[in-house]
Amino acid sequence: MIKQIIKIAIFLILVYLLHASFMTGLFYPLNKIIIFLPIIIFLLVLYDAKVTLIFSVVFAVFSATASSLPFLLSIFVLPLATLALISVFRRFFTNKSVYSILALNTIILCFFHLLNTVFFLIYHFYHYKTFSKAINYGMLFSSLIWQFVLSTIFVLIAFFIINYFSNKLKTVYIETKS
Amino acid sequence: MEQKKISKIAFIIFVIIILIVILHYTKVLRPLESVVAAAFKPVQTKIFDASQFLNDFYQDRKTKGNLQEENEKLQAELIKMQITESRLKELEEQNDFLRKQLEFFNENQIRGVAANVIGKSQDNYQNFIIIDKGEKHGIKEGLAVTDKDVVIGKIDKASKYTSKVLLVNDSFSKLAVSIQNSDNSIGVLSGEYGLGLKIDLIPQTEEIAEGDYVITSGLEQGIPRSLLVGQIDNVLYTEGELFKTAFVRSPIDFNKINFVSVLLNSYDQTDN
Repeated sequence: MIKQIIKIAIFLILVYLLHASFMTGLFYPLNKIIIFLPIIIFLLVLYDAKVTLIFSVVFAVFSATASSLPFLLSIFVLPLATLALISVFRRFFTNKSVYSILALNTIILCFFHLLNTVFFLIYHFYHYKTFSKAINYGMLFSSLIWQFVLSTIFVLIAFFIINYFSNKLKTVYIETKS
Repeated sequence: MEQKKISKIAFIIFVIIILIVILHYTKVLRPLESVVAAAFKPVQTKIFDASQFLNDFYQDRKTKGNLQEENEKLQAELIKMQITESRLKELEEQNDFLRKQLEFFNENQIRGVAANVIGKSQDNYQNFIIIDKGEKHGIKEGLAVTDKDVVIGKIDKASKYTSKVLLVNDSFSKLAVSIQNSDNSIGVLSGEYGLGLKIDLIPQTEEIAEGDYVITSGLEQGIPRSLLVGQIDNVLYTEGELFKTAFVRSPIDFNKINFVSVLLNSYDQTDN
């Protein structure tokens, strides 16, 4: 159990450092990849909902300083998006195919941005006019599209790498005596 | 059954988050947050430097790829320079101003804290950087942040070991400035979607020319007077309107900020 916790903690720190200091310093559009979202998907698919949720909460605490939202709101975004993802995964997805994972990637990206936008609107509720003028919608949409494309590529590469080294995502055939 | 289990986990997670929020705002978590921030800082600086190295490498490659375009630009620039040469007198005045600017720093003994950039904003709403100095180094909200003596932003939030700097090119950023023209026009500089800078609400009667220097006006607490912000790039004038808008060009490339200074005694400067 302790070994598992240490393993997850080290992994979490590495992901946080990679996200907060490496990805954000890269050039556009690579700096728009949100690497922790695909990681949440793979945690959910390879491990379980509990580990995924714990990871999302701790990660939300760590990355709160790098958010445009105040701590109170930013800490809710990732766990809520993860909960929504878990709920969708349990209800509608029956396998761990590449298509399922790509669909999950789209779903978590949508939930994450939706929640971020809603919370940002709540935070700037009294300055709505300033907010609506302050956003460059052209740039916003182009970076969202880039984010989706790059995230999809990242998920695809990660899927094939995991599939190569592990059997956890492989299709299993049950042999029956005829 | 499975759904019930998830609902139970969701409830526990919600309680944990509420608890974290309470502990954060009551500052009970402060020692832990400080230890984590202090422990990560050196690693984050190195990682960010590596990332910026890749960024610079890419930008250089891109520049080389556009060599032809660059050459044409330089030709046009040369013609411009020849015209500029005829304005030697004006340049002398500008030189005078820069010297005064330098003397201002020495005379007023503005103390700056040097800081490394350890992160940047990733979401699409705000343009900020995270630096590796915080309250422990005397940093507080509202202080001016400079890069090569040019104002690039203000401290938005300071924690014990790190601070968030809202860049002047962010749409939510507001900075009280003054234009070095015959009228010494004052205005509020704001960002344009992280792409540029502009000064709104300048009376039509005031004369503003391309190349005029934009400096801080000192009307804002925490920001001393006469810090360079940029130069007027162009002026938007619409006939029949009361005000005009000036677009400002900063000499700093906001994508290549690695190292900054936070002007510590800015509060003393404006208070005196």
